[in-house]
Amino acid sequence: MQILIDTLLNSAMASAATALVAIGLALVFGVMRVENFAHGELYMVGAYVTWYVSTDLQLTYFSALVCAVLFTALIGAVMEVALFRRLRSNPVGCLIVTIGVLLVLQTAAVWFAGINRTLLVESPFPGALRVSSFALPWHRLFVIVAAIVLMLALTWLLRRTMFGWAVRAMAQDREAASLQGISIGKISIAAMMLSAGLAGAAGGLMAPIVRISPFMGQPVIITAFIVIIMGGLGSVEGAIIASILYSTFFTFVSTYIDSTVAAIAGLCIMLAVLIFMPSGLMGRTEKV
Amino acid sequence: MLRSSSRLTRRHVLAAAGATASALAMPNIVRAADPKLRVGALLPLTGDLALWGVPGKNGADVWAARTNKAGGIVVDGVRHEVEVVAFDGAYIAEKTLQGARSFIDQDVKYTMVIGGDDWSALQDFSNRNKVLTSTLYVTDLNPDAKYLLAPVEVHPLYFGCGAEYLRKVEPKVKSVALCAQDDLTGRVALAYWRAGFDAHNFDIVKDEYFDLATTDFAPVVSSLLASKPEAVCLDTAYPSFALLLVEQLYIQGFKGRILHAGLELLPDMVKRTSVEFMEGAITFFPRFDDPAISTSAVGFPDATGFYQDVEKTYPGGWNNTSWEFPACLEVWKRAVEAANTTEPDALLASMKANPPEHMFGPAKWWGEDLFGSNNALVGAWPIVVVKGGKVDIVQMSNQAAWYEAHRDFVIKRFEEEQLMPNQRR
Repeated sequence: MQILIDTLLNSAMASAATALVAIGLALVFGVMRVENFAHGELYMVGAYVTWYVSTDLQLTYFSALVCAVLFTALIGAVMEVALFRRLRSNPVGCLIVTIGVLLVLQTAAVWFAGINRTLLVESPFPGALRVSSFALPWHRLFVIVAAIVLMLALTWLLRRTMFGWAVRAMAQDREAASLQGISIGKISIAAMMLSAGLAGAAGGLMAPIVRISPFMGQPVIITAFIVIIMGGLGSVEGAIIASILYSTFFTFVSTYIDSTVAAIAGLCIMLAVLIFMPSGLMGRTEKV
Repeated sequence: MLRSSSRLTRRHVLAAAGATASALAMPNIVRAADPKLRVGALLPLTGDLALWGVPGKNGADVWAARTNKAGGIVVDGVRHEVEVVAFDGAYIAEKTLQGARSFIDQDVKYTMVIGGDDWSALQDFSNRNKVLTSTLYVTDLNPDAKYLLAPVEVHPLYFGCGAEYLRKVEPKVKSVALCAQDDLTGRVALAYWRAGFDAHNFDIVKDEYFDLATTDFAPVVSSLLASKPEAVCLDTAYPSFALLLVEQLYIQGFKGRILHAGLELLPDMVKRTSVEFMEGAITFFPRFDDPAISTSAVGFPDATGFYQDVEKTYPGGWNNTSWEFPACLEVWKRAVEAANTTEPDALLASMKANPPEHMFGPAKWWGEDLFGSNNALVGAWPIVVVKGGKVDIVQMSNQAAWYEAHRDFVIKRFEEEQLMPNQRR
């Protein structure tokens, strides 16, 4: 029973963290049609900033988390203004540029803190909630709650504000949105900052419980791409649903069988979705 | 006059040739007059592996200073000072080779590397130039590595003794779960652990590799604990992996013995779990402020004083490589003094005929069975147990005797993993 509870909790936490990363990726793809391969590295940067601010600068974990979000949002803004804006009519160029940013951020992390250093972030919620014989680690519960709050806030932002209305309009038809007076440049910057900030938040939230390394973004971005393909490219709701399904499946297979089998099975599921539901779980079908 | 003074005579040519030859030969003459014996620390002094390279180089410097103070190295009745020449190989093939070439120019007699990727870059060069080299990775040994020695640590040979010790202190424990990262270090070590647990009648209830890209270890630990093990072996999981695994074992309620190669981050583990949780964990690397170190490390002169000197010279910079590289140098020094030469072939032949004393006492050459080369010097090795948040030496174990007694178990497990010399690709 303990293992089932543990696995459910681990699944919930993995779903929450994956969703935070994946919705940012889906948002940028939806609004800007950019497949941001450097998104996993923004997650990595979030973890590094959290570590640096909470250990070297000795500020509180929550201050570090805010710094992580702000810093990654800033990187997102720079990426949009300096790179994506200039390549808006060249999707392949954008893709190549994101791979370049990925390498730059990885190298910067290696330069900044080395590869094999053990970087520890102390959680503000150590230990576990003990219920009967079950142990529910406090920080994992915190990650789940924080991710839900962030996702609810994002939903409110996209559904209830003028900004969200503009984002959704751009995702539907950029030219029509432009004709309605929506500033493509401003919305793109905001979307990129939001996307990068969410990745940074995920990195900061996970920093106390994962191994911080320059390459920690790689498995995350692979998972995030699987998830947004399953959910439907550009669909935030699809990304959330697919995150829950994929992460739960992955965690259960990892625990009960093997993590390598889980990775292969996850890719098989993505292929099955592409074959039988090419537009994903929540994606729009396009008539030809 | 002018014409005759500008003429190039045979005498002039001979004089010029003589002067040029003398100039070219000058460094050798200078070296011949130099009583110092140079040893090379070809280690990563910058970059990610500097955390092993820098303490290793610092330890070697302290060892050289202490050796010189005690009279240096005697070769053929002549006393020589020893000097450590360092080169930052950065664990990059090209730089490592560059360092090896510069060592040849500086007449370095003995080179130390961490092992693994840096040795892969060096093997051909070492064979061609007879560069006598020591590694910390016994897995570097192979039939083609003619001048490579593993003179101190013979990982994973001590794991068999670890399983034996667990059986001794926990006679009722039956089940054990194992995990390791999926790389050569992890696979070799896990195969040896399995043989150890087979030999001492433990049931391996769970046995898995995790990917090197793993960041969240909760599912790995959940999977291990699902099999209800009474002991968990974390193999040679790298320090940051081991820390997160231990933390998860604690959070998920494991109660039992933990086994791991080094427990390098023990203070952080204690901080993230508790002193009680870590109590009794079994590992293999002693601390040098352990009162038992002087009687255990009998092949290392004044181990306690050495530790104090390193701490005084490089405060807070001590780790396991601080003593492992000096221990490699100590073995070489004994061998040189016994053979009265530093010439690699003669020295190797002498070392093989009369194995020098190992850091932890008398030793023998070993390795042919598992690595196709008998260049590993196997002596005793300590079993170390966590007590009150620190590690204490609890007994010395005979690695070679354990292997001889349980050879079939090891061969079987190595064959399963395709690790035997004839199976390696």
